[in-house]
Order: sequence, then structure tokens, then C-alpha cells
Amino acid sequence: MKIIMKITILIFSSILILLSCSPDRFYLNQNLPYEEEIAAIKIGYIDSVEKIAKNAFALYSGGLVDLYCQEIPVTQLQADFTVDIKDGEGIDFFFRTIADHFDKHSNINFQYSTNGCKVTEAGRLIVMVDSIKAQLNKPARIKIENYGSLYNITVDCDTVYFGKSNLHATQHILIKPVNITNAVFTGVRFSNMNSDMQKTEGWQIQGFNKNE
Amino acid sequence: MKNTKIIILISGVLTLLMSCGQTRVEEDVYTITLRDTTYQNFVNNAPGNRDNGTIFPSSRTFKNQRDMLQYDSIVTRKYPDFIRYGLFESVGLMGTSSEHGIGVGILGVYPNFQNMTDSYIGDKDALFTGGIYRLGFFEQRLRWFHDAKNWAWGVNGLEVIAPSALTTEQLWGILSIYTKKRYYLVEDIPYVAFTITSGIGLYPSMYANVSGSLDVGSIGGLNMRLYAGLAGGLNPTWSPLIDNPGNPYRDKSVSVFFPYFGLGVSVLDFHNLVEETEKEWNEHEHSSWDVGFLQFGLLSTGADESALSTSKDSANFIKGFALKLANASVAIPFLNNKFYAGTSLINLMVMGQKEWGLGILPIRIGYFQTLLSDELSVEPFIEYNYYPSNFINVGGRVNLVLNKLEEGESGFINVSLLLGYATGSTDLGFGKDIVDAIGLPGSFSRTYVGLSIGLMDRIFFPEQLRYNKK
Repeated sequence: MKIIMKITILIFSSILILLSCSPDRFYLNQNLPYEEEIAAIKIGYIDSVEKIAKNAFALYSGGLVDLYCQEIPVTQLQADFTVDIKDGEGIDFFFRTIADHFDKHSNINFQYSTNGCKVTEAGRLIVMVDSIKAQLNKPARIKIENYGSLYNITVDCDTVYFGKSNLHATQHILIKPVNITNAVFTGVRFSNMNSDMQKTEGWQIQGFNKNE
Repeated sequence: MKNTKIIILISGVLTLLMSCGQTRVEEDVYTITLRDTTYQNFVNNAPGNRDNGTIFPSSRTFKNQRDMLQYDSIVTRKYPDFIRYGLFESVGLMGTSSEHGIGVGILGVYPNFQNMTDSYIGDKDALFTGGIYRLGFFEQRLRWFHDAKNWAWGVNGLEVIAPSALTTEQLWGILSIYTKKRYYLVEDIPYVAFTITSGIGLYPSMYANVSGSLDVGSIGGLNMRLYAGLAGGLNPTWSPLIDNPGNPYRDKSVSVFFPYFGLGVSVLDFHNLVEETEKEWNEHEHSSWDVGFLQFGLLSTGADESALSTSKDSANFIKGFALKLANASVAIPFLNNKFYAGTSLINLMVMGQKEWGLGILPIRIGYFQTLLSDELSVEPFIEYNYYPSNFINVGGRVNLVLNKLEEGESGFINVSLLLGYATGSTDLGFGKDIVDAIGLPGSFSRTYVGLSIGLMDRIFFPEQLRYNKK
């Protein structure tokens, strides 16, 4: 009888643990000091995005993933990725938008592809850069900076675009493969660009600190 | 029996706790940046004449100041976070016992009240020999098998699978877990689906249950289900179902295994498609004029003796009360959509000391007329109670919504003014225990006026009805 009881409790506990998981989301940079924890929500089908390391994930064709800092909403951010396109055409990054009804909201779209780079805002072409192209199996470091009205997109040491936008800054960066593309994202890191002003006890602006 | 009461109490508490997780809240933060540049000119002319040369400095100064203001605009969205979420389900089972049939009637909610005693061990002539009862259930999407469609997992606060009236043969489970796969035949409200369910319970019985069902609903929280299944399990000696003073064979565990077939009903049982869990609460469709947990009113009826007082003081104004549990008034899409068909799981009308009637799933037809948008409505109705008492209640309610909550919240409170006439009799037999507790049943025919409060009782208004949305 005791064996039956133990087996039953084991099955019961396993099912509870199994069912408590949320397969449509994962977290990057979890429990790392000095790193913002990034929540990732798989918006496409759940097998199209896969966490492969503490700060890395793989994105397969048909996938769409939403990355954002969950604990503290960080909208003034620098998003840092090392992108290695394994096969296919390229990757689309969307920012200054939200995941809810994603296709209905305006966004800034940065396309990094083997044909070059392209930036569009609310569907309007901002810039096309033919000199910066993705190469298969050659990792490139992509940084997207969002600060106030300004945004800055760089690939390795080259600036794709630095300019202003009227779209409001949001905490989300959405990533989607261009057509049939598989890619690996490593060294994923979101930095709060206001972290020097944002303290645990609230916002402090230089020159206006209460102790001064 | 004391043990079973404790189990039901624990399950009730767990059910309330489970009700906390029905809404998923999502927030998006937009940081709005405003930039402003101010140009200021200052001319500080000293009074009096100035001795200026041909070229002289102007006293005008310019100040150019740039400011940046950032603030966050936070958008909150609320979504239902369940596939199924409900209060009560019952199923009347056939062919589960040849000697100790429980006799709970079709749907499992029409018991013979004369048998409701601790010593009842069943009836061999009963048609509906068993029942399944679930109190408080919560179901979420289960994303496995490469995100296969329409899988769900769920928990029952309390599940009782009773093949017979013998407690030792019944399978009871607190927080029993199950998985479900639905095949939808109709994906419009009310949904029709063929469902395969498998579940296990660990305490106080250890059992497994597999079933197939044809589900219709929900609409207004009402569902009908046709079940066929197989259940088997064990009541070990340590189970309170075995280890209780009323059982002469307390040292023997009991195992049962039985197929079952039956028809069931559930109330306050809400069901979402997976797509609907991605739809904000305020975009959800409603089919009812009223859905609620409890309506309780005090009545003045002119009866000789008050049911709420032991003294025979005829001056007592309040003579009785009306209680409706688990109500649904489903709009009929006919004419102006204001007619409704409704029911309640329990409808108790006590007009006086010996004048009362009890109705289970009565049939109610009424008309909802809004008097003041989203606040005041009037509702004439006629209600036929056929079991266990037989009476007709014709009346009207004037409903005032006291608190206006957002979609997805459940603490709706309203008050109603009642006016009506109820006539009939408590002519079906009640057991001695019930009669001793409430009073001898008899015929009654009374007009009444009263004041009622509705708790977790939501009244809808025309613009909220899906039939009125184009």
C-alpha cells in the first residue's frame, strides 16, 4: 500500500510541476547581478523559439518573439544582440511598438538581411544601407538604442541609422525571421540607459538630489 | 459523515482561493518624450539717458533654454486566464449499482428528499443509481504535443464520483487533476464539443477516471453534458470515507471499478475558446441579462407566523425570505432581445412558518427593461418550480446596480425591490430531518413584497448583449 501511495504522490507531483510551466515564455539573464532580466514571449508557435543558454536563444522560421524587461519596465534601453544567421535571408527587429495586436500598431522596423539593412517607421522607408549586409554563419553585434525621441542602430562598428522618431518608446523589442530564416542570438543584453538616474528610492536627477 | 462535511468545507475554501486566478493582466509602458525650447529676450534699460558712442553694446540679452520632459503612459489590459471556470457540476448516472442506487434523478440534482438521512444506503429500484458532483473547477490551456489544439488541464476543488449511495464505494477527490482534449463541433456560442477527459484523485480516495462527453455550452454559465466513462479506485483504510464511526468495516479498504453513463448540468460554469483568452475582457460577448451567485431577499407576505422568528408575534413585518442560488437569465434573440429564459440551481421561497417551496432548476421567463442606463432596470417574470415543490411565482423586480465593476471582476452587488404572488404546494415528500428543521410543508398562496440583495450577481444592459452588437 505504501508503494502505491508513493507512486501516486510522485505522479501527482510530477503532473503538478509539469503543468505549472508556461511553455510560451522563457527568461534570459535570470539571477545575474548587474543584468536586467529579460522576459521572452513566444508569439508564434512555441517550438519556433528556443532558449539555448542563459543569455541566448534560437529563432526558427515562422517564429516571433517579444523581449522586454519584466521586473522594471525599461523603455530607455540599449538592446544588445550577437546575431548569427545560420540560413535564410535575415532578421526583422521591431521596436517602439507592443506585442498586443502587433500587426495593427505602428513600429520602427530594422531589417538586417543578406541584401543589406533597411529601417522603416510606420511603414515609411527611413533609410536603406547596402554596405552593411548580413553574412551567413558570421556573427554580428547589433545594438538598438532607444532614448527619448532618439534611436540609434548599429551593426558591429557601423551606424545604420541615428535619428528621431515621434513614436513613443516602449519596453518591447520584437524579433521575427525574414521569410525562411534560422538564427541564433547570443549575448542578449538589455541595459537601462536611465540606470544612472533611477535609484531604488525613486528618480534622482543630478543637481536635484535630496542630499545636496 | 462528519469527515465528509470537513472535506466539503476544505473544498469550499480551496474553490474560493482558485477563483483568484481568473484574470490575466498585461501592462504596456509608453514613455512619452516632450521637448521644449524657450527663447527669452531681456532688455534692461537703465533709467535716464545713456552716453552711447557710435557703436555701443545693446542692453538686450537672450536666454535660450531647452527642456526635455519624459513621462510614462501605462496601458493595462485584462484577459480571461482560463479555458473553463465554474462553480458546480452534477451528473446523474445510470447502471452503476444494482442494489444501492442513490436515486438522484436525471442531471443528478433531483434527489428524493425523503431519503436524505445519514442511514440511507440506497434503493435497488432507482433509475439514476449514481452521480458525479464537482464543486469549483478551473481549467487552463495545456500546451503540449507541439502545441496541439484544444488541450487543457484542470483542477476540481472537490470531485465526488458516486456509483451508489454507500459512502465507502464513492470516490472523493480534493484538488483532483485532469487533462482534457476537446474536438469542437460548433465554435459559436453555445459551443458544442466532444471531449475526452482523464483525471486522477489522490485524497481522500485514490482513483482514476476516464470519460468521453458531448458538451453543449456555456451560455449564461449553463452547460449540458452527456457522459460515458470508466472510473476505478480505492478507498484505503486511512481514508475518512472508511475510517469513520458509521462504518462497521473500518479495517477494510474498498476498491471499486465501474463504467457509467449519464446526463449532467453545470451552473456558473464559463468556458472560453483558446482564442478568447487572447481577447480582452471588455471585448467579450455576453448572452444573458443576469448571471449571478446569490440573490437573497427578505419578504413581507402577510403570513400568520414568521419563518424567521419563533414567537407568534403577528406584528412582525418580515415573514419570510427568498433565496436564489446560481442564477442565469439567458436572453432570447427574439423581437427586441429583451425576453429571457432563466433558471437557478436552487430557488427557495419561504412565505411563512409553514408556507414554503423549494425549486431546483425552475423555469423562468421574463422581460428585462432598462430604466436608467447601466444602473436601473425592471424585470417582470413568471417562474414555474416543478421539483421538489410545485409552485408558480409571478412577480417583478426593480434592480439597482450598486457597484460598477470592470469586465472580469466578480464582486457585483445590486439590490432589488420584489413584488409578486406565489402559489402552490410543497406536495412532494421531504424527509423528517428537513421538515423538523424548516417546518411542516403545506399549500400556500401569498402576495409578497420584499427587498433583495444580489451578491456576485451581474446585471447586463442592452449595449452589452452580443445580439445588440452589429
